[in-house]
Amino acid sequence: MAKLPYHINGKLHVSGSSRFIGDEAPLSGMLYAKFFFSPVAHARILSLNHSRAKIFPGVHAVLCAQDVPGENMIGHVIKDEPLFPESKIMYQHQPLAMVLAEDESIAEAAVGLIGLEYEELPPILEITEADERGEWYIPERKIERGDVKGAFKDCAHILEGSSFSGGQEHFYMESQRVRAIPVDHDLIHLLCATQSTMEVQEVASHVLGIPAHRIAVEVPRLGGAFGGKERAATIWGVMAALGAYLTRRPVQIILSRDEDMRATGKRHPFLSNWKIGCDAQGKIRAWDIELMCNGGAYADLSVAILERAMFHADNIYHIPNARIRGRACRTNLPPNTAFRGFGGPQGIFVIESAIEKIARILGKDPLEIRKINAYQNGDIAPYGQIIKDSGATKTLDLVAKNADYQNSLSEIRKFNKENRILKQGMGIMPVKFGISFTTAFLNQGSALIWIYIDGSVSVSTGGVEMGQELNSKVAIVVAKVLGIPFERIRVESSHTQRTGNASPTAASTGSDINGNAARIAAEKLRANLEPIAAKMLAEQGNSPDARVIFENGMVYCAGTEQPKLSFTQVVVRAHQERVALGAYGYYATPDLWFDRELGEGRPFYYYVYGAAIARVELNTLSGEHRIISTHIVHENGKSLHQEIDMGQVTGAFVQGMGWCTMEEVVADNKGRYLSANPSTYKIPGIRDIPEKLDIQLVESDSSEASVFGSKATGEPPLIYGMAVFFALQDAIRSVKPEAELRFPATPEALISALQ
Amino acid sequence: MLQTPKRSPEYRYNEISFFLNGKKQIVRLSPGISTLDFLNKKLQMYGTKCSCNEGDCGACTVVISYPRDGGIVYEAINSCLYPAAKLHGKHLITVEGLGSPEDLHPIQRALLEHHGTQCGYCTPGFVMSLFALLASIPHPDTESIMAALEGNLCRCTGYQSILNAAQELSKNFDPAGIVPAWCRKIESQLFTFKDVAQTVSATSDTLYSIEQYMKPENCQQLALLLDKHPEAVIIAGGTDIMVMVNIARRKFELLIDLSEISELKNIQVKNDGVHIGAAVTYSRIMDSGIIKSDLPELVRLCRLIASQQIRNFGTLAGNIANASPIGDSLPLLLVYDARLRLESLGATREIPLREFFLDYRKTALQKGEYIREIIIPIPPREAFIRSLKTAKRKSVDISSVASAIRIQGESVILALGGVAATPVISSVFSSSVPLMDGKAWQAVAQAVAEEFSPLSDVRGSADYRRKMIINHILQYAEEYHG
Repeated sequence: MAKLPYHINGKLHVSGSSRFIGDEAPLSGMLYAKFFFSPVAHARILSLNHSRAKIFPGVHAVLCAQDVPGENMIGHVIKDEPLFPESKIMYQHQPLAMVLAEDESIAEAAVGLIGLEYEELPPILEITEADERGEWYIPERKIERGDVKGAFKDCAHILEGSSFSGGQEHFYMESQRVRAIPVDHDLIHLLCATQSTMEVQEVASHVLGIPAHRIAVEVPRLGGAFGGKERAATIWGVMAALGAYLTRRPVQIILSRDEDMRATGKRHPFLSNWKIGCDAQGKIRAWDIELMCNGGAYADLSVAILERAMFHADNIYHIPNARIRGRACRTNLPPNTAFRGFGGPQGIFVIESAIEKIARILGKDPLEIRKINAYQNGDIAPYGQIIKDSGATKTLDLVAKNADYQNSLSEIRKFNKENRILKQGMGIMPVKFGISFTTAFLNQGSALIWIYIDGSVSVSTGGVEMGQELNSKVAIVVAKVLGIPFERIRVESSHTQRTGNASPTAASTGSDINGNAARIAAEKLRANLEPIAAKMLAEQGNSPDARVIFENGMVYCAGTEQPKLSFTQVVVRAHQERVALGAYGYYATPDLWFDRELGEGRPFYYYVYGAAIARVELNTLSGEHRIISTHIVHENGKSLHQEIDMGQVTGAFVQGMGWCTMEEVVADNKGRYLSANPSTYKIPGIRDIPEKLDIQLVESDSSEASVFGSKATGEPPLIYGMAVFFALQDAIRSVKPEAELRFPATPEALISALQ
Repeated sequence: MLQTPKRSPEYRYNEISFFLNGKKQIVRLSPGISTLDFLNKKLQMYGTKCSCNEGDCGACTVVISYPRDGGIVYEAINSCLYPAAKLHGKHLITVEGLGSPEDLHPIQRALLEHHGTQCGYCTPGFVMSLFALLASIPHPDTESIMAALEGNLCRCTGYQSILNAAQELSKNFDPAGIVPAWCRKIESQLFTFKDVAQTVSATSDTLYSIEQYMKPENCQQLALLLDKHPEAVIIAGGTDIMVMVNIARRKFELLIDLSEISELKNIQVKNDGVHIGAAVTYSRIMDSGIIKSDLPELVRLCRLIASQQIRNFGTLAGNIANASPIGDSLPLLLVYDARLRLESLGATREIPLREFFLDYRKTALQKGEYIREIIIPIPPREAFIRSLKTAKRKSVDISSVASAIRIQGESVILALGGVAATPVISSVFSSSVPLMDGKAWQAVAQAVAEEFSPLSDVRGSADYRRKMIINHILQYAEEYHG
């Protein structure tokens, strides 16, 4: 097998040569931004006095709501979020004013001269309080299928519960940042750390009151994002644009880690109340669930996230009678936002908690309960989508085999009998994850390719490279279509002037959408080159009708090895013969729709399936645990690059494990985040990964896969991390069968569950 | 009324000379500027990354090389917390120096080939941590790799690919290829380094958090300086003070750095115990044969303190002077019955550590006084001495509860951190009957938990802390009784 290419920018990364926004030489005359952040979570602004800050030497401007020339609104779908609040503070650390100065230290000193008078209002921080007060961005959403009420009557067992899953800080290594550069008189060039070039451009154009073509947004790469730069980057991008527009100087914003963690939104905490009914064997007949999320001060993406949680409230289980209701609640926390999984993990957590309860109450093996309920082809999801290529049973069976499930179970029983303080447990986590933006129109993308006359190739897509190796995958696709070596291809920054109207690089769709767009553009170029190549090969004595093969930088006729042309020779000739060497590719994911009123449709192009089994050992005195092993089986179609996908699965698993075992977002009763730096907010370190991590990528031949039969890998594997949570719960229950483990399973939560 | 900051104030700049990636540099530094800011903002070298600016993520890891204990060491440090003035006479090696895209260092190549980089932002830090590791230990085992990398966070890879790269390097790579020839060439110059660091006054348009940064060369100079500037803040590593500068934006008029005072860098055994100088880093404690053999529990505990990068310049004396109620080393030092030798101009005194902590972050140190050394009596072999630390994460975390125990014949002592305003010795525990059976332990543990009123904070609730007091004691019981 040919060696797979390394990370397309890997050599730059490992030598510290890759360009990140802001980590580059300052521009002459550049101004540095520092913010006056709100000291309270909820208040009426009485006055904001920045007269002294404005005259501080070295300060060029202090900007707030009244300086906005256009609309002071950055809300996207639901337009409820101001750039700067005019009258009402809605969360702690909301930026109220921006100081622009010649030097960061001067900007910081001037921020200290700004005075704020306010009337504090009681903040709403908890989901329950917001829900009781009807603080919803939109009315309740509902998906319903079958006869839920009637079905409960026939159930042998009816169980009820409530489940809570907590927030999570993105902790992208590179904080929010942007550099805005005025170019000519009428263009602002924004180098912005965003997953969403189009949105930053669009919102900046509204805020500045100028057409979108006067704002160019470019992203060279991101130092991690995980959803945290999908919408949450917009506010900073637009502020820098405003500063550059008003001062006619370059403006740079780089948030410190603390500012970033205090001022930006996180994964949505979810609270769910549920009722589940099953027959005597544990086959689920009815499922009634209400999901509520803590959306923070403004709508942001909360409604879409709630919707995805609802779409995943079934996980891999076919439940004929289901009622799924959801309410996105407004609170006085920074607006919570997209985070890898986008509500999916939160929805799945609830049904998996219910499954665990069924197994416990019925005294059955939780693997068995999962298997008898797993989706089979032809089953219909609660929102009406027909399941076609279900990999649910297959992946569960395979992971059970890899983990030697039955033997492990008896080993654990024996171990727990023999050990008083150390207790082991096992947890299972299957996944069915829907791929596509559930807002159907976002499922489109474009690419632009230039072949230069030396045969080197430049590819631009609307996709943003943030470590997921989208650019490597795009280059693989283009290399394959054009039959040239991977190294011949350069994948450029994402830039609105080359690929406009780009959907966010999100929802795991990056390589599906952009890879397909690049494929289409490359196919056009190949179609342009083929007749030229055929002509050239005919001139060398080949049959003019022979099929032309492009392979490894060479071009030849099928069935003959000689004579060959180099790809570059063909390109040079094409240029001389005035054939286009540039092409634009556009892709829209077919056959997607969803009717929100009916709660019915086909929101996903396909599903990704997989399953994980984790085995842990808990010290019941110290509350510490180790992960003895984790086995993962992940179905990923015909992978474009197995090692990249392996990296995605591993990274997502560890991130998910962090979410449910150690990452605890703590706020005080005034809505101020106390976990606002890595000394108080712990993400997994190298000592926290499983002692044995076994990941098997399963190739599948799904009719519904994407570019060259590949499937998305970004988000689904995050959910495997929850296997560790349930393994810990299992360990706890070996001591105390009724114990409820609080989320996340920190040493404190584990110790308290044992009490 | 807010005070208008001073404009164009006067500062004292440090003029130092050092080697950067094989080349001699003579530079003027704004007072107390971190190595990271110096690299990024002054030299415009952006390979070294800022992510947290408080020593918790490792993205800014660089390697310093200097003579230590007769040899040349290569140590990883967090450049965000390491004042650049400390570089005088050292060799600073950054990711750009180690290799370029066209000519990768073997470590860089291994990370590339194992897909040990995704977004790339943490990668330079991992490269440098691995460089320090492999330059010091040719074939590190997995535990050594973990210890070297526990201070580097990666949010993308889940670490497995990085671990694979490190294991591959350890197994199959010729250690001779790790330290490049240009590094080796500098080593002899480090031994013979004679340049003198200076300070000069100048005004600035930029406002600096620190006005003056002084590095006295001996204890006499230090005492004189402190006598003249009793308000000065002393640092050894600076790993706490620099966090205050970077994050809390605290201002300091004068920082006095005692890390280069050779009298403070000794570890010696005398009649009354092991003497550890105030400038001795955790790493040196862990490497010391004396401490490994006479105070093994201290070595074990040091492994749980902070990260490799911090241990390379943080000090035990700093942990003591900082007087945090959850200072990791303090309970153990209390059960060792450590004493401190405090010095000031023309005066010296010794006090037991247990009398040093007066109140929340208040110590018995008087104006003009500094910790000269820590004296730890060597316990008899049969003494049972253990320490425990409870935190959210296994490594690089601040504890919610820390404790240490000593059982020696009839004498029992338990010290705790995180349960009161200062590290404390439990009086209930000390007066308890010899703890011979499980039941007695349980009751004593309960009583000790009731002795304290811990607070609730981001690291744990009061109830949890109380519960952990009990559980620490029960863990000691388990081990004591085997």
